Amino acid sequence: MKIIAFACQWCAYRSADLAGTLKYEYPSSITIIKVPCSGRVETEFILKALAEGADGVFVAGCPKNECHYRKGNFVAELKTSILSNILPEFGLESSRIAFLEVSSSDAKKFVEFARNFDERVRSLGRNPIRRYSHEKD
Amino acid sequence: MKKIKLAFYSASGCSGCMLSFFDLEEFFISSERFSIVWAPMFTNSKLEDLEKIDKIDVTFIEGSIRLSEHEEIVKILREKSEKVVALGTCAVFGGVPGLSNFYSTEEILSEVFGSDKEVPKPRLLLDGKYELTLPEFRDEMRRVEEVIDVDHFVPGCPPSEDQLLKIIDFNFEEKWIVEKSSVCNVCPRKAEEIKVSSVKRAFERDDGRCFLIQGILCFGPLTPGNCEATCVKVNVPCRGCYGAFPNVRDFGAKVVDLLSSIAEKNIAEELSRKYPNLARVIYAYTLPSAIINKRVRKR
Repeated sequence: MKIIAFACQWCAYRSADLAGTLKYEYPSSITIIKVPCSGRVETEFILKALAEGADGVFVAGCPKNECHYRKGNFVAELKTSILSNILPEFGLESSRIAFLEVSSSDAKKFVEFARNFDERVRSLGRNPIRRYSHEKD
Repeated sequence: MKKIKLAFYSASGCSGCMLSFFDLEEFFISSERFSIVWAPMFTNSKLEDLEKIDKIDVTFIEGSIRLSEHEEIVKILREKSEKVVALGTCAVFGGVPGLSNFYSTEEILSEVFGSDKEVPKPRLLLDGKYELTLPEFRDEMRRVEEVIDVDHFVPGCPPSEDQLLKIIDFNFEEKWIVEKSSVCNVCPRKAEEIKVSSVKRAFERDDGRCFLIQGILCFGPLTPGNCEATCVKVNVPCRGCYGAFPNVRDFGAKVVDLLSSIAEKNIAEELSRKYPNLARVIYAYTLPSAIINKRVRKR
């Protein structure tokens, strides 16, 4: 199981950092990529992650109206929701991608979301792209 | 004077791109400069004729690659030619036939032939003195670039006159022969700032402003503007028939980026309600070149 998380450097990445400092545990399947702003995460990044075999992708940004670049988190949320409506046409489940808004001090929310998302992706099983292309492993 | 040897081949295309050559007066005026050595579309050219030719200067390939026959011929053409030009959106990005990647081979064949039993199998036919083999129907539609090396790309559905005039001397250097500015640059519906707050379909009431401001999906901002905004001038939103700009990897993903950055509120639900097959709209011309380029399914 491999989950890619794009976390904005102001809120989401710091909350993940804080979770580490506070010794909160979240699933090891999650690989966090730090980005300047969640709005910077292009649809291509998410699609590429899925095409290369990631089982789930989530974009994490600042809470509503608290984006450091005014509306980056809004753009990211809309992007993930439009994309999740498109994915079923490609044979992928729409719940493989998600958006999370979390403030930099809210490590608990990040950890809870990470656990829930991991469970959700686990229940879907492995990414069909990987499942069908490498039938052996 | 040595004549430039040309070859034209249409894979799974509609031959429209080739015909657009023959719509040009300049092509006929300069016709003493070249000779067409192999073109099954308008000369009597057989596969064994191609094998006899030892060198071609410029080959134009139109249409995307689906059958094993397309693949074989395209590979032979690549070996023999100096320059290979992918002509038209189908050859460059996959085009409309590329949408068949949303369906499996079985689905397509049973749709066309009714039932599975009537589907012609790849086999040898002995018809008196001829031995004929049906080409194999491959699993997915591919771009020409995925099969062979392509030297030049000329997108367009069909390529416009100014693009063809650039390549008519058959001595061009640029890799991509396409406009560097978008359809919006030549569009008569100018807009200062684009904000989307609701979604409409193209057949709903149109008030003459920019389509995107009205909430009608228009891919003008992402599409090269060689067409002089022909569609918008007759009140039809741009569907992106020129494909993506050369530096764009995935056209549909850029459409999602565009929509999410110009929307004022969350339009995702409205968008999927109004356009139930959104992926088929945004990837109408570029599905085989997308990052996820087909419906994922068991083999």
